[in-house]
Amino acid sequence: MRYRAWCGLAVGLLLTATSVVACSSDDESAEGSPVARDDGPNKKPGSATEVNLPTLSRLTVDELQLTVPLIAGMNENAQWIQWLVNKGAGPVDAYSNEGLGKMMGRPDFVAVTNEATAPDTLYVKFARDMAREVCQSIRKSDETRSGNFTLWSQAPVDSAASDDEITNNLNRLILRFLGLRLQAGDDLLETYRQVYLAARGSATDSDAQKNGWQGVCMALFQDPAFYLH
Amino acid sequence: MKRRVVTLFGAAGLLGLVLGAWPPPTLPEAHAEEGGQCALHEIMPIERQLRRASYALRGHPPLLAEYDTIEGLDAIPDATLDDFMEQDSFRTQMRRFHSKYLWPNPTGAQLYNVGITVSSFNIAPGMKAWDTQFANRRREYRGGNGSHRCQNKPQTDLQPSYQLGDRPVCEVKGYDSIQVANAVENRQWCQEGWVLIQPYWEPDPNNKVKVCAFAAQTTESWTTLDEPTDPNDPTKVDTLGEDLNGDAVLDPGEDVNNNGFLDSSGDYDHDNQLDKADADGDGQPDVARCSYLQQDVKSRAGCGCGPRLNFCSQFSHMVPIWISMQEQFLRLVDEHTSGVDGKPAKAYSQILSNNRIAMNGPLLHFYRYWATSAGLGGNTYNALHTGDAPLPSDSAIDFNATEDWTVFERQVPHAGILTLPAYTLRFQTNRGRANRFRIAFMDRYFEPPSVYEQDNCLSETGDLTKKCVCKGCHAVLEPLAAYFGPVAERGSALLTDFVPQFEGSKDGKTAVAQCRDQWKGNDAILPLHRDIVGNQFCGVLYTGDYDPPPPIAHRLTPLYFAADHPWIEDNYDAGPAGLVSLATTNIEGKTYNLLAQATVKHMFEFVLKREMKLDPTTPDSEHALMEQLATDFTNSDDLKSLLKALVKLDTFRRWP
Repeated sequence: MRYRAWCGLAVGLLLTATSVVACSSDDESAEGSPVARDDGPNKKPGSATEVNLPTLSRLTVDELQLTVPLIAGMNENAQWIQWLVNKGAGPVDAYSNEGLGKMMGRPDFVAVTNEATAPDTLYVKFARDMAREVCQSIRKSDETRSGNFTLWSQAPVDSAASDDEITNNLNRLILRFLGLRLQAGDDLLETYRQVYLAARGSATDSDAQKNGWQGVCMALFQDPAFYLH
Repeated sequence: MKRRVVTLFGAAGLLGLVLGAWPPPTLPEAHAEEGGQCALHEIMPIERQLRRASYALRGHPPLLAEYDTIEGLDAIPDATLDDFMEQDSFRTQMRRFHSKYLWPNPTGAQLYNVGITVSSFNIAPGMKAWDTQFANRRREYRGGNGSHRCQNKPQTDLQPSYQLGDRPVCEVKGYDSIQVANAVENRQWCQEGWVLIQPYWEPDPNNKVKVCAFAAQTTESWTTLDEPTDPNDPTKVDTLGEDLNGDAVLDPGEDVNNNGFLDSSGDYDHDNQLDKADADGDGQPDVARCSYLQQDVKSRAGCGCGPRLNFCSQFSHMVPIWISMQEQFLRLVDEHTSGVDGKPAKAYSQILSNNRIAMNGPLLHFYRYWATSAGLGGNTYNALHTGDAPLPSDSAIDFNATEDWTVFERQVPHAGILTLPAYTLRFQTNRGRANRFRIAFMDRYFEPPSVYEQDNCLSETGDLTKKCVCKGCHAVLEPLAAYFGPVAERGSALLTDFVPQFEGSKDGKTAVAQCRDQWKGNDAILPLHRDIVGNQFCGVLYTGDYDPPPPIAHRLTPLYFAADHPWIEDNYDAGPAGLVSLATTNIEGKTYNLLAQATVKHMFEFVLKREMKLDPTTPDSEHALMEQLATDFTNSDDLKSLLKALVKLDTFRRWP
């Protein structure tokens, strides 16, 4: 855990450093010329290029709005599963402007012209809310189906799943959420196996196994590999 | 690789710090893989490459089935990338890119004259009717103190229902006591009835609403009153605040023929007939247009909101116009990025010269009814002028046809997206327009000087190109801003029907006075536009009233200093196309132009989520890559080719 933990710090440091980097000024003394006399690199204010720090940014609100339904799939009514929040007249897509889209930073190009994509604590909070709500919705939809499941497509939940079945299902979910096709024994795969086992508990009945896959789902939605570019 | 995946993107990664893993390792330690090579230098697994490319080109992750198509491959096939760029999500993604740099959202631009706002009110308990909102107009209609609206009965119940052709008769109801200066005046008031109308915002012809008969008048012209009664201006007629016949009742709002209705006209020759003007002596009543220009028109009782209330508006009805302007802009972007109607994308640089303009119902309605009506008091100026596409017939205009888009051709000095209202109303000054162009298409940014500049400059001048401190940016910005001179500031209208006057004074007249002369003599302008807007137009948009120049140059417009700067006139004449040519001409000694350089850098940042490293002195400089990509883009003028090259870069395929 500690080994991973510094990574979050490193990301934070890099992003912080990016935002405070000084930049060089342009020489604009030539009247009528649209460019600097020096045709070299022209830095925009706040540029990070002088220290060449790599940056990681989270998915934008637009990207999240498209991504979550594609990952979550359709519900029993053939409608894309969305993260819904209650607003006034009823539930709305949380990533829409009527929902939380503006608050999460979607620019309107009038008052807000740039989307800050640092994975800050506000984002992490909403990521957890989203994961909890959406994974619950996916589970409910899967429970209404007789096949073509989203959360347990490779492993049964009405009987005890074998280790291989659990591995295959974990692999499928990791590919679906993270775009990674892992080999047996991969650290990340084993990490998620622990998540599954912890969420499932010692029981192996249907509900327990569903709990396990729902827990994996929630962890995957909050994995930096899911939301960081 | 297994460890690297965990290292960079562990499930608890970002939260680790919060959870108490402290102290962290040092950065070199953190970046070093156990074997010595940094994970950041390695190519990602093919599935992760596909995911990144999908986000870059479509804004969303691949479907599971798409992962299966590339299993075992080393690189994403060209066909997959081409397929991504044929999808509608690519079109949307290119809209996002252009929105990021051009901010094409004119929301907030005032598009109609608030003096012609209509609103609903309770004409009876639980029963709505519509009327003009503001007291001035209501006072002109009904006299009194301006608080009165129509009564709850059909206009046809009042007989005769109309006089002077189509003016509603108005039933006398009483007097209002009004404080005028130091005296209390008694002002008579009346009420007309209502008529049923299908307003322009109601698509169903069966859904008619009650509208006060004055507001519902459909005429676009009215019969003028006879005798000039404005003691301050013998060419105009007063309707308010005077009692010319000394009967202790302010005019109009009188019932001179004692028929029980307040007269909409006057009977100043006391023949018991409402007067009609015949100033030209042709035996026919004179007619003036209902221009809906508010400020100076003295008699507007004969003007309502036009057919279906077309000329009137309310704040919420600007929303579909703003949205349509944004969509109009992005539709032109589509033509040069993804292609439309199954046709391939056009040359990218022509996005700055393509003069096709898409119009839908709300936009056509806006230009036909509102743009010609808005004064300049608090509005933007968007009237159509020479160079704009003519409007279709009124019958082809439907405010509710938001999805019914038709393309028209415009003429110079229009210049692609730069003269679409989403741009000119988002950046309402020529300086703002030039600055945004410079950022988006030249990748150049102004920054304030870090030291106080006091060499070769003047401390007190209105010419910012010479003023200390200011000149650092304005010596560059003012010439660029002059290219936008032919487009009205605080508006989107072309100034093509006016002869620019650059000098500060000529023949003893200020530039503003010369401007007014042009307005008065210009037949391309509606008569009332000419008289009413001219003064505001010249004072606000055209040259600025700077005689003598203001000590502080915060209102400087470039034209004023043309005598000192010959490029002002040259650039004004060249129009925005002249600015475009600066960006599309190859940089001296280079094989690419500024537009290509800017596009490469911005698109690189858009898809790789970081800026290019362009310091040539650093070992990982990407300056040569930028030059190669910019050269290729200058030659191809094809955005898809550029994007394809970017997502195939090893830099893109590595872990970020």
